Amino acid sequence: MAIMNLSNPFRTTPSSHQVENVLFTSGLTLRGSIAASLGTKTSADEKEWAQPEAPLPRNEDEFQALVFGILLNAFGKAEIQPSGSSTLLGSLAPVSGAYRAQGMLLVELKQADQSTWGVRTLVHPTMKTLPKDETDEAAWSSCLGRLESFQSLRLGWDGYSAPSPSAEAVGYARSFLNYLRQEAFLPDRLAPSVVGGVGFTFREGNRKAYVEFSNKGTAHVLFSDGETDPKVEKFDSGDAGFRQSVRKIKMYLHE
Amino acid sequence: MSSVPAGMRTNGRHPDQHFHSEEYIFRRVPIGMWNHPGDHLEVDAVPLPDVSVGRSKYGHPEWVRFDVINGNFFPDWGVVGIQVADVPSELWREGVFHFTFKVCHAPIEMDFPHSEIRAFENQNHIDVVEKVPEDVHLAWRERLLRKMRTIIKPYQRVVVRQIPPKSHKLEPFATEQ
Repeated sequence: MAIMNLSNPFRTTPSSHQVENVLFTSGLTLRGSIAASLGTKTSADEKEWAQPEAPLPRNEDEFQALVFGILLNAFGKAEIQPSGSSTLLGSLAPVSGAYRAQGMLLVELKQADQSTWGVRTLVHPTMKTLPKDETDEAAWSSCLGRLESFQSLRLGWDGYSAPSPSAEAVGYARSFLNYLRQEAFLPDRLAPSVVGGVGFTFREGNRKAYVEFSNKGTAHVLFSDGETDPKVEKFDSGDAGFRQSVRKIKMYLHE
Repeated sequence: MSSVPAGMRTNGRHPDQHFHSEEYIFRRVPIGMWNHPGDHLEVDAVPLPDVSVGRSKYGHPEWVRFDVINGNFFPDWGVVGIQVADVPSELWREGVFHFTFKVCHAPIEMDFPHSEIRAFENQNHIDVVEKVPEDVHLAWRERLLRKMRTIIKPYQRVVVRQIPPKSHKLEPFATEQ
């Protein structure tokens, strides 16, 4: 049986600076300034670009293969589409471009010359610790972009059989996010759930509250201090339910 | 291309339903589910039974980076583990519903260590999503998460061993140079 090696196209033993870049490019860390300017950034900050060890893509097909490698390395299955307006660096970049999933820019490539090139991820279908050091507006835009990008995940994205988040779950999560924004209550983590749905995590010290919108359209919040029995409550996915659950979460985290 | 280690194949061996309480079971986790390589996971990364895992008596942790069903190898994905004794074994709800959980050996031709955490009601294997209320199984996932530990970090490249382990105990792995 042929086994496809879905490896990271980047260096495996990078410098600390490279680690930062690799993590960023692979979707593990999201830089706020990039997230806040989805698809509009035209001047590259060199620190944001990682240098892949893979050969420079020579044509569209090779570039697409590289992009797939990056995505499949992060998640088992995701769907991407070439962007309609993909040229980013004009004459400097014979092979440059961007790929989008569900309207969100995912991967951008630049080439200065044959030996200098880079690739970066602008928005990735993942969660990450949310960028609380950003401006509020950028942080909320980042959250929303991340949530929408979950719709690019496909059945089995966790390498097993995880369902993709349903439109219903993403819809309720979007409403919840809008409510959180009104409350200026930024979650610490936003992620697709491997059981199907979308999860929000709020943390304070050892305590956390985890909210999950399931693919069936239900919503639950789990309260946990890591030691005593966790408590789970169901709530309605509407403003009244959001208000009540957020109030309880704040009380639990800060009591 | 990477090849599935020879020792992973079933080669006529039969299922072994005896699990030592200190035996580890392993599961791969996409790098996209980790905030940082050193971080712990969150409940969103914890699945419901039937949970596919590898077992340390017959397989090394890096072996679960092979997805033999779809023919993929994920050399950068993290691997988490939990000892069999730490798998939450039962759940009650309001003193009425009683569900039990057990690790079962479920080898497949290309993956002899393959096992599953399964849920039961009155000894009958059940579909958790259908039978267990969501609030109950969310609490179970949190309990499982608390016991899970990272065995191989995301991006940690390790040498893929070809020969099966000598015992159920976790054997040290070598990092790729």
